[in-house]
Amino acid sequence: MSKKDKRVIYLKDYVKGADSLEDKIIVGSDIRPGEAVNLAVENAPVQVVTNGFDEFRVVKIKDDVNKFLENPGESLIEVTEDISMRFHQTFFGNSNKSDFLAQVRQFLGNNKFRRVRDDIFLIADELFTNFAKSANDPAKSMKFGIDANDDTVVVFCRDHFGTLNPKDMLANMQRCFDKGVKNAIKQEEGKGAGIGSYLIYTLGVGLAITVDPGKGSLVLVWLPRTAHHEDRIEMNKSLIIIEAKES
Amino acid sequence: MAFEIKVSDLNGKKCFQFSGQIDEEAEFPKMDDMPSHVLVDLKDVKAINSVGIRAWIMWFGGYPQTQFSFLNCPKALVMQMNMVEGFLPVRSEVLSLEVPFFCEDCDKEKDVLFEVGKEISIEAGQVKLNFDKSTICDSGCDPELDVNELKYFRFLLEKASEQAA
Ligand SMILES: [Zn+2]
Repeated sequence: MSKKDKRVIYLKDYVKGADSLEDKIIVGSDIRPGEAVNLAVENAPVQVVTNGFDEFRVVKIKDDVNKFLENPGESLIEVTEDISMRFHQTFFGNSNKSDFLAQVRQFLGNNKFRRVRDDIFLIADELFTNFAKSANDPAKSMKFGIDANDDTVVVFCRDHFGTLNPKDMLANMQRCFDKGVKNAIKQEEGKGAGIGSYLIYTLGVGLAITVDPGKGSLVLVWLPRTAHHEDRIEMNKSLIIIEAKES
Repeated sequence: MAFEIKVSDLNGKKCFQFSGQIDEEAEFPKMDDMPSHVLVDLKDVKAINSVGIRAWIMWFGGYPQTQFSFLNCPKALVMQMNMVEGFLPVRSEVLSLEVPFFCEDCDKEKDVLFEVGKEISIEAGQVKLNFDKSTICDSGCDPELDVNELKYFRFLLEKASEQAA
């Protein structure tokens, strides 16, 4: 990757007010998770990257967003032939969540996933709930997937109607970082837990939210397969928000 | 698995046994006569999601005068105790928790229950573990603690310093 890539801004070179960050890939080595969310809220759409390997990943996503939407796992990591490392499942607005989660749990039973199992299970629950709710139609279908290799596990959910709202998700995440989860919960109205996106973001080391209104949404998280939960939640996060421009 | 709370008596104390998944289906009952000290057995809790975390915090937060003692905390809840500030009620303690081990010799996961005051002690602001490895897997095996020891037990330290303050 050349440093001359016009889409990339290294945070150390960024001059506030002089450069626009909009639609740029911001690369910094020590952007804390809450700070990455603030950057994304202030400069959407934006991609915030916190390590060299992710810079390469994000450029790849930006180069071919459609490929990323069609085969999210494969476009980010090298997938293996090993079927025990791959779980793809279509579900509908009216699918039973317990049945879905039982299949996810069975897949994650493999001890290769022992350090990410509980977290991926929680992410699967959040994604299923969020997508099924936003479908608002029992017949609409969505795809959930887990793709893994020795290093990385990618978890994603994809629909073909694009009703997710990245701004809401970012605002919820920002509230949790600013006020703390307990206070965010207390101030929340209604029964929905606005902490779902915060959890998904915190449990992974990279979160991509791609929305083309009316056409499709994708939420994708990647996690290092062997890092312990308690180390992973403290790691810096990459955050990628791609919204199709209104045409 | 649907969430359920069973109430029993344990050593003269009221004990709530939680089981199943703590999610949007989980109903936490309103208790008119919550005792001043309650044991909460979490052994059969399978998972928790964001709606469950919210319900948990709101329910326990509704009984600020009660001391809750948590038993048999599964890993999925220990993670929340470490990650979500305020997950453990203000007046609470954790008496025992699940600690994951992995044995490379037999390629097996072994979850072992550790008790605070027995296998786990807090000395001079640090968590000390004292356990017999040979009882965890088959004889001749060398199972490894499958967490970051310094961070997995951190919520215990935070609770201890909170209570000391
Ligand atoms: Zn063994």
